[in-house]
Amino acid sequence: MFRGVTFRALFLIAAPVCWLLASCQKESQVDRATREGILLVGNANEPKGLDPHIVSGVLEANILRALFEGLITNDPESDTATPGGAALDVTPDATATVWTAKLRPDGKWSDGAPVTARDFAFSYERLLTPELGAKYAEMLYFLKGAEEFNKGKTTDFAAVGVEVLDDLTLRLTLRGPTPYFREILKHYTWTAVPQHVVLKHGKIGQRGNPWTRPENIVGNGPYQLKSWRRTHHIEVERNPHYWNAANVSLNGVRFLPITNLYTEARMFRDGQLHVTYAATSEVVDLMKKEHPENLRQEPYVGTAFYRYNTTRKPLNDVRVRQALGLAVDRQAICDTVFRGYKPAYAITPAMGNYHPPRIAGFDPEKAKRLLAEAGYPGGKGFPRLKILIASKETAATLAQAVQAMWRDTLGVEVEIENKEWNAYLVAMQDLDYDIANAGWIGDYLDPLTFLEMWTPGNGNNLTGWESPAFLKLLQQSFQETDGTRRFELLQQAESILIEEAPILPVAWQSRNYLVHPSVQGWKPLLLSNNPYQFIRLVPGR
Amino acid sequence: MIRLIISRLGQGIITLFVLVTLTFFLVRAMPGSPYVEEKAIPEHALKRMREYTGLDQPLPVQYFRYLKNLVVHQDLGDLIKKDGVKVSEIISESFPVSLALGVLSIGIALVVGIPAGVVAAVRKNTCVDFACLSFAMVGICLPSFVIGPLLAVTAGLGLKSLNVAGWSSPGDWILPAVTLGLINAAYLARLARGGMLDVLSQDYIRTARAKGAPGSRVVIRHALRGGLIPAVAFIGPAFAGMISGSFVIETIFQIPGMGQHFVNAATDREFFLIQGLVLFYGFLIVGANLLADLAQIALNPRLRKA
Amino acid sequence: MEKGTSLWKDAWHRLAHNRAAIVSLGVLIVILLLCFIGPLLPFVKSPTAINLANSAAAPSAAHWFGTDPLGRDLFARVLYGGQVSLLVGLVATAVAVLIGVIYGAVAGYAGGKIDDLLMRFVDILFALPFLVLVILFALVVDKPASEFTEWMIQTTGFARDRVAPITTLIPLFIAIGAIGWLTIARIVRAQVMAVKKQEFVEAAVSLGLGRGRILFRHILPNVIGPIIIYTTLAVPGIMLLESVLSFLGLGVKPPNSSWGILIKEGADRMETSWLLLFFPSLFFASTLFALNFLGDGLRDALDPKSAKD
Repeated sequence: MFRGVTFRALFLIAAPVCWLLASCQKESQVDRATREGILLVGNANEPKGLDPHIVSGVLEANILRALFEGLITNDPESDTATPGGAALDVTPDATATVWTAKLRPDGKWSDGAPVTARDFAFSYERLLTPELGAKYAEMLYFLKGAEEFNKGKTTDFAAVGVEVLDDLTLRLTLRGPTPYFREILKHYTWTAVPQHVVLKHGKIGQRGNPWTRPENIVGNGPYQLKSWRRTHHIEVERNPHYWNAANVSLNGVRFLPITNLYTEARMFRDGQLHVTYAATSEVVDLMKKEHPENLRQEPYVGTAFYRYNTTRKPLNDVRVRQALGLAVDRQAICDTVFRGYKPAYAITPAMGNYHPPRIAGFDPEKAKRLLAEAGYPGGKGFPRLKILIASKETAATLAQAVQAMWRDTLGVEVEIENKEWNAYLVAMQDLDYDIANAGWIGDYLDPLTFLEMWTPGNGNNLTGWESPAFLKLLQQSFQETDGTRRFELLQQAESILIEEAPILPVAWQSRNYLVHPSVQGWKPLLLSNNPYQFIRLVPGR
Repeated sequence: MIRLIISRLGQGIITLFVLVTLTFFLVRAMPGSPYVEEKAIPEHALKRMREYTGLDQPLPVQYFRYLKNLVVHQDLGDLIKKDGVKVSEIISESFPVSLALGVLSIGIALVVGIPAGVVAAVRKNTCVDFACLSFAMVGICLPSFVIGPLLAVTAGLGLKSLNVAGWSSPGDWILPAVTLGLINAAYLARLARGGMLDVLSQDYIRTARAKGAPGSRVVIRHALRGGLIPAVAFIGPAFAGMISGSFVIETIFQIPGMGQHFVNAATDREFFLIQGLVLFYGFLIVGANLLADLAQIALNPRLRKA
Repeated sequence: MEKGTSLWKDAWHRLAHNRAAIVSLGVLIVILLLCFIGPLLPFVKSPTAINLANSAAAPSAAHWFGTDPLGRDLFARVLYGGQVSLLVGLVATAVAVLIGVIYGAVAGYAGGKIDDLLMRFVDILFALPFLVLVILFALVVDKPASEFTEWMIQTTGFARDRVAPITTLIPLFIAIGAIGWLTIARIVRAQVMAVKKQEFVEAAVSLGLGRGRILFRHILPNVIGPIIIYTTLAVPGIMLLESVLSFLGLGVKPPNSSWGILIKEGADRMETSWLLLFFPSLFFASTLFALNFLGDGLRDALDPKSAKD
């Protein structure tokens, strides 16, 4: 009887196997999507929301780019170009302090209503309204009176430099000369939300306003929300009311919140994705061997670095901090731990005409000398410090590499303290660490996004380092109207920062990711803010 | 029997109440907070956010507010980090997926594991036994984060009709269910083999054989009931584990199930989501245990009240 | 006349003749020696010495198993990692089994209201969010663990590298043991409930034997089969649980390692350097295979119903 059972079991297994093998000629998901004009994009994780005034992340920005368009929009090829989006143009006065935006007359929301200057004024007021508790309101502090209004010191929005001159004209008065203001306007916090929709579902400062639910949401971008299944996908389709709809080639974009990078790479290789969010070093190696044409390694506006807690001994001694920094072989790290990254000799990556000062580097002899001068020759007597990391892949590898370098070059022993993510953030914010692994991604292409955080008392400083000289230089730059002179001031400030070394810059990020050959028009951009309306899908690749 | 069910339901409610209360205080004792992020949130914004979710109130106030919402409005609360998303939405969207995956996996596990274990026991110490044991060992020794990617790379990339990941095409359930199913099949096979061996050596089996009953009948009619007890006792926890512990499978195969929420809610300190999930999960366990105990009684007549 | 024997003597006799079990015992002893004594041998390299130039190298005379992505000797890492995994697997499982067996036996034998109460308690513990508990546990235990580590280093004089990886694991053992006993309690309870209605138990009761004695000397030995099987099944699960916790930052911390962590790192690089997966998996699987065959042998040996020969 068992013989019969075995035979039957074998058949049960054989049948589906045959079916699987037989259905070999199936169109891959990518090919079908290319045919339909839908771009399949890996997007790291489920977004925290779709309200441009509430969220603050890169992956949310990727989706918001499709749904909303600001006064200035992203250029598909150039990092520095500032083409008009919802505005025909945004022009400064002589001091670059008062800017006038002329809106496009044919601008419409996805429900057909016209986009007016009132919408922008309403949006800025909403973002700055204290009740909303928007965590990224400080992006708007460029506006005169914005900070005071947001912190509740003034209560009348008329005190903020936003004026509606007529339906299509908006005048923005800034707190000081800002020659790079058009660059700032690309950020999604400066886009507009539809006043009539937001107020229909709640008050201006009300949290939890359901206006972004799939059935309610309205935007002025090239696409509108089609479907949203949490942790599964978000799909946008073309917005017929978009002013440039006739020139939009892509029919839609499907964002897949794939959290595991190895899964994402497998999906790409199986023809399930056009563009991935990232690629690990193993995937980079694999693709270099198999399909180098799919691999992109592009400079990205992010820096990996270490923070020092300058309030603790011996890290309060600048020679110790410099010694530790000089003992790190950044090139070796970039070759093994971070594929494609570039060794960082400052914190701000090169962007546009800004070139960071070349200060940090690898000089083991000088490192040993400095450490001896500080009183710890050969590492003798140096306390056992801890490197604080959170449990993310490369953080552990980097820490172990640095640990070995300090041991071999300086004779300094450190421990690695691996905390759970939330506990890690709290420890850093409470200054309860010695040395901490950190990273920063710029919000816009101006060095200020990397430098402003090091001013005394800034919520993202977290090192206890305070330099009046640094602050003075930054404040001077706020008053400078000449772009070149301004960059010089910022370079001087950055020099102070790197020399006094409250941080250890490790590497400038390269974004490693994969792109399918059928995707055309996806150019390397520092902010990786590729606008989808300029992408084309070409079948047959 | 009815009395048993009623008394167990009553216990269930008390269990759930204790569970909810314990969880409420445990999650708030965790270090860190839901408002901690990579780019620090300004103080004044934090204050508003706390007011909005009610987390600035003293603990007892928060507790009674939660209970009131739960019992009176059947409202499990909202997510803290994602505005306007209700905990009940998260559960109602992800549970059907996990349920489907769990049922399919348990199906595969039962179909593969139990017969393998029984055959191994009957053909003890032969090649068949050794082969079944070895197959079982592979399933136990190789973790899901090895078997999953292995299957994904070989079958998923190799066969055009199978996707390596996702939960949209009709065949997408196959690889994850097979991964989970094989792992649990291995456990079931071992437990079934062990249980059957115990039973097969009992006197009443010898008696049946001596009476001339054919081998297969001896096994099926006499031995199976007793022999499968340990295996059946394992199914309950295994199924529960699949619902809450499928985090690894979900990340490997990109499945919008519940497992990831258990893990992410804890790391994100999403208090209300953790409480909601625990309540829901506790509810499932109470029900599942009741069923398992009933199954045991069915399998073992001696447990019925005479 | 036949020489009298006891259950244990019988069992040992049967075990000694079970080839698979003896071979397994041998394999286990070899692995234990390799992992605990091996690192003391001079030719075993450091598991933490990084050599970025020699990343993911193939096996060679210098590195028997090759190197990992940071250039560390894989052979050494497998041995040191084995210390962690074996300790976690065996100690944590032993703790879990001990608690679970006693708890489940009492619940199954007592029946009625006591059984209900005990099992509802198990339900609650089972349903509590595991990760939350571990995070809380890690927090509470962090300081005492590091103080204990310092004390151990002072008193025993062993190097920090030898002591720290093990003492920092003690909270992990306790956490895992505290969670792992739940399922075995359920299984034991089910078995005990089935056995307690058998005739020999009724006989013992009518003889006036005390409840405790009946439970521990008469019922448990008959239940020992599934217990052993489940123990051998629980060990790999617990070893892997440790790797999941370490992945979340709550278990073994870098640069220390365990088989679970090595296997995970290997699985990520499956397609480029599969040897990184192969070697730790080999040790891991061998240990578990051996444990299981040994467990089978033990079960067979201890089964009072097996024929004497």
